Formats: sequence, C-alpha cells, structure tokens
Amino acid sequence: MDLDLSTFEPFMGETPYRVISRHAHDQFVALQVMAEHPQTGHRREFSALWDSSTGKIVWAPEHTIAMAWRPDGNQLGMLRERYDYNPSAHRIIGSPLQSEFTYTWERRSWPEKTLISACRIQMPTGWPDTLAISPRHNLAVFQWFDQEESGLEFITLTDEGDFQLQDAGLPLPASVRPICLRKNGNGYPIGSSLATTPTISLDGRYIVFGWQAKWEWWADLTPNQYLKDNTPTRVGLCQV
Amino acid sequence: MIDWDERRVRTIDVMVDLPTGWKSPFLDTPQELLYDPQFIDDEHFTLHLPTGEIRTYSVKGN
Repeated sequence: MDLDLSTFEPFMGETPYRVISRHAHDQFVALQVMAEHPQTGHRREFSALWDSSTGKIVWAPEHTIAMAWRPDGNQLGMLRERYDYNPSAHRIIGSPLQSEFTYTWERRSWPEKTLISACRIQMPTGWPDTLAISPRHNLAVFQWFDQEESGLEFITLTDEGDFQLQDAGLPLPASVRPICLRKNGNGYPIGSSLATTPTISLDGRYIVFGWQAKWEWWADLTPNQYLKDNTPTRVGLCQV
Repeated sequence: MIDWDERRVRTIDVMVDLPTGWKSPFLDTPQELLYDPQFIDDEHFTLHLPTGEIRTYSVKGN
C-alpha cells in the first residue's frame, strides 16, 4: 500500500521521502528524510520509525542512517554513524570528509529495542544508504553510494555476535574501478551510482538489485554531451 | 543477481524496444531509472521499468 508521506510528522525538520522497511505484522514503517547534518551542515539521509496509521514518529534514535526489520518482525537492524571532526583535514577542504565518519551496525530486539549485537562496518568509499535482512536471519546487506559508484556489503549475523564479511567471495563486475575496492577484501561494488536498493528472495538465497550506466539511457549522447530538446533518441532495442 | 549459496553473480541485460521519438516523460526524476525489484516467490521477481512496463524475471534465467 502506498503511503502519503507528505502527511507524516516531519523529522529533523524534513518530511520523509521514502519507505525503507515495513514491519511484517503491524503498522510501523522505517522512513528516511534528507536533512541537514546536525554537526556538519551537509545534506544527508537520516532514518526513524513512524506509525503509519497516525503518521507520528514512534522512535528516532540519533545518528541513524537506515533501519530495517528482520522479515519475521522480531528484530531491527540499524546503520548508525559517528562524526569526529578532524581540524587538520580542513585546511583546504571545508566540507566534511568521508574519513571523519565511522559507522556501526546494530541489531536490536523488537519491540523492546534491546541491543543484541553491534559491530563496526566499512565500505571502500562513499556513504551507507540502506539495508536489508535475510529471511534466513543470518545475513544483512547494506548498500553504499558515492558519486559514480556504489555497492553492497554483507554482515553475518550469529548468536555469538555479528561481523562484516571482509571478503564476500563474489566475482567482481567489469565496471569496478580501483576506488571501489577495499584493501582487505570486497563486498560487491559496481561502477555506477544509479542503482536500486537490494531485495532478498523469500528463501534468502538470492539478492537482486538493478543498476544502469547512464541516467538518460534512452538518448544518444556522446561522452561529455548534455541532454537538449533536440538530442536524438534511440529507436528499437535498447538497454536500460 | 547474486546467488548467495553458490557465490555466483548473474547479470541480466534489461532491453526495451523504443518507438521512434520516445523520450522519458519523467526527465531528471528517479522515475527515469529502474525501480526497486520485488520478489514474488523464491525464484521470480518483478521489475518496473522506466517505460512503465512491469516485467517478471527468473533467477534461473529467462
């Protein structure tokens, strides 16, 4: 069911713009806003939980980028950030640096919100954006984005504690550039930031997401050419 | 498409047949892009294309 998010209670001064998770059995939803970062002032996604029947916020933990319920609804996964200002890094660049942010995965019981497990997470570059938890309850996937690349990273969930898989053991796509690679192994990076969110099959075996190389995939644009009214369009069979 | 059990990756080229003069009606919006895929069972998912078409794909190949 589509929700009219314009009627929902604002969070951090902003109206939520997308649903990132729905509870399996009740009316709660995890939404994201694009809001001013309270420490750095740059625009950033933040997440909270709303009651979809009232449009009111029910839980808004600080510094939370994304949240998703486990498919059975009994646990909640969270991506949280921490910003540590490094004055020596700002002699030339005024905007916040990726190196000043660290990120943590948290898994909590629902509805009690008791912390079950937490671990540091990393990505080769960019910013974490969204996540999904497998119906098998043993894997979480988070997605990161940067200017021209994005990717998936994988977190193993166990009774003894959760940890990020340093090397997922997946073959890398041809589009990957060196900036997409980590020193100690890789998740699944791609050389495009035009990617959909990942979706996990009902049995937990398959993870699917879409991505495309160009925004104007239907236009015949040469490199460094911009879309105009008279830009020729493609005809016939065309790859999105 | 990632098969997590086998650690295999399969890429499906999403092809559309564009008529002459077709332009996206949603210029510079996310609707110009692929929508999030949705699984409908263990092996099939739907994909809403920027042309408005909704396709069903199989993880086994189709």
